[in-house]
Amino acid sequence: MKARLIAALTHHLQTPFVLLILACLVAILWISQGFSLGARLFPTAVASLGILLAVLELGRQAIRRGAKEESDFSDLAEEEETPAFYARGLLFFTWMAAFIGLFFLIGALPAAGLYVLGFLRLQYRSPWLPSLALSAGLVALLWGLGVALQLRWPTPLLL
Amino acid sequence: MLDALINALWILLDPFRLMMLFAGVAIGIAVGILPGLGGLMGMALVLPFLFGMDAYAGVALLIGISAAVPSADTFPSVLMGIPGSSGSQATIMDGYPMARRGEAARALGAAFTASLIGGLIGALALSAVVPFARPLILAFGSPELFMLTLLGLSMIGVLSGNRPLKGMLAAVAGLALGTIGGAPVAAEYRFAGDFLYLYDGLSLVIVALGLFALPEIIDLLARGGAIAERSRGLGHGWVQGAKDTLNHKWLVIRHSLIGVAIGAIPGMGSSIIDWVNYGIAAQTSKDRSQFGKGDVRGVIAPESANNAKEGGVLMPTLLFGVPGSSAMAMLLAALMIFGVQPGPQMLTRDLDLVFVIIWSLALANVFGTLICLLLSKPISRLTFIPFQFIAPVIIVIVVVGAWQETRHWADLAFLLAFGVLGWIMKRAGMPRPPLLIGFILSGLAERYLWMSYNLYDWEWLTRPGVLTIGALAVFLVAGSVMLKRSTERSADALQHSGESGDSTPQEERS
Amino acid sequence: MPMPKTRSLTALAAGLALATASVVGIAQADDYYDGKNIRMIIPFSPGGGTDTFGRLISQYLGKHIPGEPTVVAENVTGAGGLLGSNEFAERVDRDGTTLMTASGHLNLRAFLGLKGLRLDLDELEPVVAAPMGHVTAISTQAGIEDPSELLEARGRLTKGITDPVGLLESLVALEMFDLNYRAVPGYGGRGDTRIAFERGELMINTQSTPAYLNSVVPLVDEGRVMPLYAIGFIDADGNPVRDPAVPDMITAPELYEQIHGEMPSGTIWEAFKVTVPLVQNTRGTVWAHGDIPEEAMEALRIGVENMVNDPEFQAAADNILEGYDIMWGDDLGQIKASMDAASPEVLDFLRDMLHERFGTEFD
Repeated sequence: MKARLIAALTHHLQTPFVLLILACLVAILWISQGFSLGARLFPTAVASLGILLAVLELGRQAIRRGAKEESDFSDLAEEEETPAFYARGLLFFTWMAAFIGLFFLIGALPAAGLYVLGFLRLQYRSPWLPSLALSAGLVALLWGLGVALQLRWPTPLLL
Repeated sequence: MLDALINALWILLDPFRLMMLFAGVAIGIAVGILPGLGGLMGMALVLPFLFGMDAYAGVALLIGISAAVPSADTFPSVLMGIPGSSGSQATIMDGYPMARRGEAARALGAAFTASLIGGLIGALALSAVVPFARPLILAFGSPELFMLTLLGLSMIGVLSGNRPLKGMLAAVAGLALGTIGGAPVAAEYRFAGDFLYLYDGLSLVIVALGLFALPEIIDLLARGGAIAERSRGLGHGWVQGAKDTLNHKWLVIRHSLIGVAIGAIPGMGSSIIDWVNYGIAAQTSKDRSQFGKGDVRGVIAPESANNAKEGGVLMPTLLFGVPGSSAMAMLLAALMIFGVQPGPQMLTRDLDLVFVIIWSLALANVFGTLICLLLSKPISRLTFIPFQFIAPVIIVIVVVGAWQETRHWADLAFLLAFGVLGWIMKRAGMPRPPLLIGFILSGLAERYLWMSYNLYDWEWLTRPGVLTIGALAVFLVAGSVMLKRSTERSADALQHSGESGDSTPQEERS
Repeated sequence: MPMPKTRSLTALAAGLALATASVVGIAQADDYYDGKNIRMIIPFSPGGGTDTFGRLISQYLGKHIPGEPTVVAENVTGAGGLLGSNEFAERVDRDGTTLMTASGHLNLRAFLGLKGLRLDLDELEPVVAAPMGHVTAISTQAGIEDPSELLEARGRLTKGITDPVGLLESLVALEMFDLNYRAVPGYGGRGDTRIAFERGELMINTQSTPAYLNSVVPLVDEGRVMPLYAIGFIDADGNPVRDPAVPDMITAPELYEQIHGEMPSGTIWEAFKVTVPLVQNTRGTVWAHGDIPEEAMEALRIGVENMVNDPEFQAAADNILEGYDIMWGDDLGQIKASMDAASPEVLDFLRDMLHERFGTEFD
């Protein structure tokens, strides 16, 4: 049942997405009316045009019932767009978000080191040697770049 | 004139100045390869050192950086589909698919050869045109600039894959996104509330990185394997690429000149140049079925334009003191430090400096692209390494680079948000390049539209420049539609006689 | 006798204490910055005029401050200078280890209380500043031959607007003449308005004096453009002072006198007298927090004095200041003095004008 639901949602993602854009455009149109003339003319025109296009696109999708279309240049192969694929995508986004969180909590260099190490070990069960080597290498590279390019690091919130 | 040109070369060939040129190229390459950083950062870095230098050395250093960046930022574009600073963006359209096919070295070879020739054409154009450039640059008023933004928007058709309606919707959404922040002609900060960070609107670097880099990384990780889907002998990869470029020499020349021309127009910014060139290349090609799938012309055109533009943006910078790109603003600061006043009298008073700049541009292009060519083979090997080793490194670098923007936590929040958006767009079959184009052009289009009206009421529509550019845009779009129809007809005919298309085997998931 | 002895002893003790204190005070000023870094926040992007000034100071100030701290310039950009300014105002320690380079127009924004800007100039002390004048010119298409015919100019007098507060001195001058101009907003910077002016798109244009001399004078020579007036400066008594870079050019108040037979008066004139001194140090003002330790302030003052007398600095500054002199020491008093002299009516007048014509919002 759950798998069916996910499959239904993910298989036909294109329609919900256009609906989402439509909603955002309507919101933009609405909010823009509160601006002064100079500020509202362009957003009003753009949002109106967008709403028209979105409606047309929804109509077109309704007529051509559900055929999944390729998006852009990076869709080379028929991807297995199964729920598992989506789940993995979410997983890796979570890893990324975790790194960003660490970035602010313990500082850039420790976060980078921990992230690479954790990612390789926990997610891929890579052997210790390459994981540690890559992690240490990245931290060294970052430190060197930081000095050479005078990069700024965030002040860690925790340490 | 000629002896001034030769004299300038001797001036530049001083060992310290050459060293500065090399240092600039090295910095430019380093900063260009790492996604998220930009030429501007490299130049800001060396600004303190300029105080003690002589003008020629300082200029060589800065030009070295700005000329090397558009060459080096091809690496992330081709290898990972990550748009470089604001230069090699359109290269992702065909360079990245080529890398996915295992042809990374070929793509890089083609790109760098195109960059080399393009850069040299840019330097040549600069030296040839700069005495006459002033009236040409002045010819572009607000109405003409508005038409140029429309021209940029007309490229969307070619960037939307097969569904122009979706592309238009994405572009309009991009236009809407671009309205966030300060309105160009009113003191209103739209959609920002009290959140000061948004007063300047969303950052192009963050939108581009989020929209393009993150989804690719996530998808590659989810799919497993390496960037290149199948192994190919690296062998003569880049040589093949170089040959490709030389075979298309007219393409290189044409797009270098377009790059110079757009770069010379102050007020357009430089982000749009390679998209427009990609668009024109695709629109005017007889067989454009492979564009967006790994057509080497889709790499050659933007890359030549990208490097050639450096010659173009120097024109308004030197002749008017108005920077043609943000890197040029740094050059102006440097000129101020050296006590040089940009303006028409540079051609009489500081002619040797102008030529040193031109020579620096030419030499930096040569050194930069040669070094990049040498690096291309080892670096393209990365496309065969299992991606889980590369991904975290890239993510860290992208995050660090994105954060340098304003060092505000919102930089990373928006990076992640646009990453999710880009990923969803891929799943929903919405093309992303039109969104980016709409976003880039939004502010420009609105600004010039208002200014045209405020300056000329409605008469601006009848200006010759406006009509010309408008006709050009219509011609390009119509022509490309017709070309596409005729290609499809012949492709259909071919298809009826055999199987076409390839299927890729299921990859091992790790 | 006990009394004189105690008195002389007390006097001696007091004298010794005072001497020690001043020696210690100087000694403390001497090593307050020892081993420290100073962060110079520049709220603008690298490459602009204010940024270059801030970097100039960063380059030379450090080694002249006792203790020789390293001064590091840092661009904190965003929201037209608001992000960097707010950080300086609210998020850094007030111990003298952070300075900020503001432009004259940023000062004006702070002074008028622009919405969202939390910089309060009353809490700050100027350390060093650099002035820059402005010149207004008009296209000859307006049909006048002499500045005194200004009010008879014909046609649509378009003036390019980048950011109204950033152009305030030129706008106030135009208002003072009661000239009917048409504002065209949308320009990215003064350089863009200059190109548009040269192109013939704009009729009236104000540039910094160095930019005028460099780029507009050739147009004057071609006969396409005519200088109207220099904004000039205002001295401590409220009298107009000629721009030292263009001493032969008439200043706006003097032109007014020429046209109307008397000096300007009223709120608009008061507004002019307030706006101009605040903006005249447009190239840059380096601010320190007012409540940093006395030793730090003293060390900074010594540093500036030594720096200004350093021939190496003078040579470098020459190029960047484009013909104007550094303001330091007592000269800086004008900045605060003109702020104090501004009456609430004048401030309200300026805010109302900006709000009605351009929609600018204030706190």
